[in-house]
Amino acid sequence: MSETPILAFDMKRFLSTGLFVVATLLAFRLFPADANMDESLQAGVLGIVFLLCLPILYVIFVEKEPLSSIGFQGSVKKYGFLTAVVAVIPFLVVWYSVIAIGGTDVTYSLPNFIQDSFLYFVLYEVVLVGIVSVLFEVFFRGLIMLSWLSKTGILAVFLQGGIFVAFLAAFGGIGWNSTPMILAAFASGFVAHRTRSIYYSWFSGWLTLFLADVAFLVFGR
Amino acid sequence: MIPVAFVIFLSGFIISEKVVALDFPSADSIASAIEQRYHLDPAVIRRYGESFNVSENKGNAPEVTIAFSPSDPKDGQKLSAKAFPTYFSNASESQLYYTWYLKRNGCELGGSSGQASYCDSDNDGSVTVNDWKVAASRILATDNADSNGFKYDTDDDNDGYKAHFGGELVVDTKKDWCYMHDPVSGHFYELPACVHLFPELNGSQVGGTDGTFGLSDEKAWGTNPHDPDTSGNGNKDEANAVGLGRDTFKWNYQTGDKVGVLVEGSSMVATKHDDATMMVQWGFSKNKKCPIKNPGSYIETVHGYPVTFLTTSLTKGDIDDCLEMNLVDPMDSESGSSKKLELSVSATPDNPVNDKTEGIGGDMVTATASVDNSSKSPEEITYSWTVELSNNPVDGWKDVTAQLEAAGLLTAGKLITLPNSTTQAISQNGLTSIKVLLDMKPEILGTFANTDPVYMRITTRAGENYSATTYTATASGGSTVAQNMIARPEGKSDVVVKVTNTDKKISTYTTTATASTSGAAQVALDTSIDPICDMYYPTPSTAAEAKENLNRISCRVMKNEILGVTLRNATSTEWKNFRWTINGAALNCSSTVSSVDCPSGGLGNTAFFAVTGEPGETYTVRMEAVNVATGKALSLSRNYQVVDPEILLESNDTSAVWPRYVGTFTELDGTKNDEHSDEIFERFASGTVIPMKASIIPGYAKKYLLSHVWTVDGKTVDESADMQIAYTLPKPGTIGDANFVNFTGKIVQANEKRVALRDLWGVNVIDSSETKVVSDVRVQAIANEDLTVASSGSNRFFAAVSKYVPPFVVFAVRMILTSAFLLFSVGFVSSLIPASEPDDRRSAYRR
Repeated sequence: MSETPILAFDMKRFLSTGLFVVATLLAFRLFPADANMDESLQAGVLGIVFLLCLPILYVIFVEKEPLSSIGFQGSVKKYGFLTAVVAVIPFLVVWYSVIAIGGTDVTYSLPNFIQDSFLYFVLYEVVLVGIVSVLFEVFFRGLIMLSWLSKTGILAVFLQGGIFVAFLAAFGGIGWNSTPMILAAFASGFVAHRTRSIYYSWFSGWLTLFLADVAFLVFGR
Repeated sequence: MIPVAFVIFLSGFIISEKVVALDFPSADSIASAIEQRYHLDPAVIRRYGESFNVSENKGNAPEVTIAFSPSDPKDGQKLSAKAFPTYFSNASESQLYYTWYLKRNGCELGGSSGQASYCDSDNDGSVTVNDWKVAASRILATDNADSNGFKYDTDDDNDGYKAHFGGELVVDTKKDWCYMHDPVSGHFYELPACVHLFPELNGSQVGGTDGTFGLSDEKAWGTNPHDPDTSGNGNKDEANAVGLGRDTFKWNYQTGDKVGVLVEGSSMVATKHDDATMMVQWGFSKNKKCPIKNPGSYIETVHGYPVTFLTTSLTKGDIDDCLEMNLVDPMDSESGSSKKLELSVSATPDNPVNDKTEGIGGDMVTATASVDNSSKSPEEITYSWTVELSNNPVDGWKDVTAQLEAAGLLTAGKLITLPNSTTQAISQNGLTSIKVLLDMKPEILGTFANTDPVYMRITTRAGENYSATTYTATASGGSTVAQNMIARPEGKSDVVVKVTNTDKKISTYTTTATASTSGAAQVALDTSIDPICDMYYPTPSTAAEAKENLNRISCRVMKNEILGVTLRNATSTEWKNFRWTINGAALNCSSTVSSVDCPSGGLGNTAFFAVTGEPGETYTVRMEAVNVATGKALSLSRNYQVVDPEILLESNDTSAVWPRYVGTFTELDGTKNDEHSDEIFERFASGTVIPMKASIIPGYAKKYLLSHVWTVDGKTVDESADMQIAYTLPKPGTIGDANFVNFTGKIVQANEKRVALRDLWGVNVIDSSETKVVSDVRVQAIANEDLTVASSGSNRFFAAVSKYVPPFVVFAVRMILTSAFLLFSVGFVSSLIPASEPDDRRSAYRR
């Protein structure tokens, strides 16, 4: 039996991907907003380009690797779904505890219109939360965790989580409203680590965010 | 024996029971007896007999009128002429033959030389009536199709048509009889032979007995030999050429074109011939019949009696000669379309009051004009308004337009002196209505200052602006102004309004209330503030001011308010016998209600009423009083509408915040007004201040506003002045940012007034508790009006590009360039790093 090649370290790939990750995040953060355009529209478009399109182009044209290298691949279905669901549980417990203990100190808020209409709630969760989750999965779980930091094993889950928190902090986004996203980052990171697929990690991340909103609507004050 | 018995019977019948000496019964005595018995007037019977004698001459001969659409055609425009035939007996107008003829401008009868080639439509070397017919019939038959596109090799479309005298479906007649009516004598003259007056081409008349429309005919008419219905209207080509059922004729009008139509059909007059025939006659477009030529007669035995038939020698050629005088000019008013604009004007209200005192309490008269026969939009029509006064509704008018304009009592417009006149008018394009504020003072009223009522005549003149060509009119002060040239004669209309001219007016006051410990509540006029609903802003600059102006028409009042009404400037010695009513019910004031204003009970110059109705309900307070000095009675009224008090939030500086433009509202008269939102305001993204002010409607409710608070985005904001804020934003923000401005106030009536409402009008105190007034607006940040353009060099170019290129494009370009740079730079750096073993790389991402 020869030594398993999974531990082999590709310095060139590590350096170039690291450089790309840092450069992309910096570009995203420093990209000047146009005062004549809606801010959220610009953020949305930039997110799609920098967090979704660029990583895909990078993998295809620079690394010349298949997209499966950043998690665009399946896994054993049963195992994948089971992992995704199981991974959500501890983070939901944490979130419920936060809500229950924090009470009114937890200033998590949802848009009024989705609280008043079930239809809007469903659309918000499925469309908006779903799309944003895809961006984070591709970049943080796919590119950073599965591609860049893949050699660090389980540590990659925490490293990508840390980078994600730093990313949020850089945008001034650390607060009660980003707590479910941070929890989801770790949940889906764990799933991605186990399944090597961002399909299941996306499902896990989305499920965390969805259930976090439901829990807040049901138990929040 | 039998005759004797008959006579006895008749005598007995007529004479009835009254038995007198029996005379021998004669016919006239019997008739006289019948006259007497049935009250028949011999004179009337005689007149009937006389009418019967000439009834034959009163037959209705066919007539035709033409209507044009549009009524004011322009050169090149498609003009539609529709014929309306009458007095034909054909079952349907579509069974008649309409022979249209079109005389193009300049196509005069005579030789064709020197005239346009199209004048000689039949190519016979001269211009005749037949050319006019062919010109029109070709259009009908081909619908202006281009015959160059048709292949004239064979004729296989079987599109011939045989015309019948008197119209389609008039068949199987033994013989047809054509007649010409003499409108002077009323006689109908029989033609030697029945004829059609259809156009002739290619050597024969269309609709001939052969029933064929051959290749040469098709070619001559320009119809498609392979399509039986070239014009596509359902008729065969030859039927179209004869004008079967073609009551409408359309062509591209040129100035000077004239058109006529000759309608052939069966008239409603039967011939005397021993058959089923009706007279075949023609209707002429101007109803000018052909003069009877060589009148004569012949006698024919019908049913054994000699019957006289009047005759004329009129032939087809003679009738053709009558067509020229039946040509109709579409621009000629004789044809039914008017050259002048048909204008109507109306005014409201019905019985306005002029306030001739120094006050501003008069009504506002609104006169509105409408034009019925113009295809132009109101903006393309110049309206000139003149206002005159008189002491009677018929004559003696005095032009006061200039004085009203100088006093600001007329809506905006340019004051001009009408051309060739000394009359002055307020003139402007699209000025479809004018408002006259009846605050005419003695200097305007002049000799009518003491006339009551005074009559006001509002005259409007309207003319279309055809071109930029102008004429010079004299404006007030002697200066000249250019007015658009009006090619079409002006329309003119006026309305006379009866105006009560008085210094009296119903003034409305809020009230104060007192309630003693014993509970005996009393009210009094609150004269510490001005009467309500009398404010007027000639040029309102805010929505609140515009709403305040409406109070002069119907005064807005709040529910659970006690209002006092009084006749202004009326002394108790001069004016007596007051009678106040509200919605028809008596409104009495007693000392129980107000010992101050009604010390001696009813019939005084003051009355009070409580507004107990729900929002939307209206009250009409009417007052009648008699001037004991002059003996004249005065009747005035005032309207009130119950409204919920509301807060109107407006910008206090429209350069910083302004209401959002939401579109254009088109009024019924076509006037377009810009509409702005009451709830959404805008500011530039770079702006940092939100200056707003609040007004309460109705305005007098301000005195009941107990407390109020402003918030912006949920944070309480201090007022910069009474009912105003100038909120400074923490940062300018970006496009799409929205700030929510809220005003919340509490309106509370004084307790004494609530007691008065309860005791005097029976209003439950719970109903008169506080009212909350809330208003919210959103202030949205939008793109800056202008971007700073760099002063010179390449920066200027790029700045100019960024100014005129949509922001999204600039954003996308920047994003794409950044992405490309990222990929290339990382790729370049990556290429400088030594590669790892391929096998290791492949295995690195496999489980």
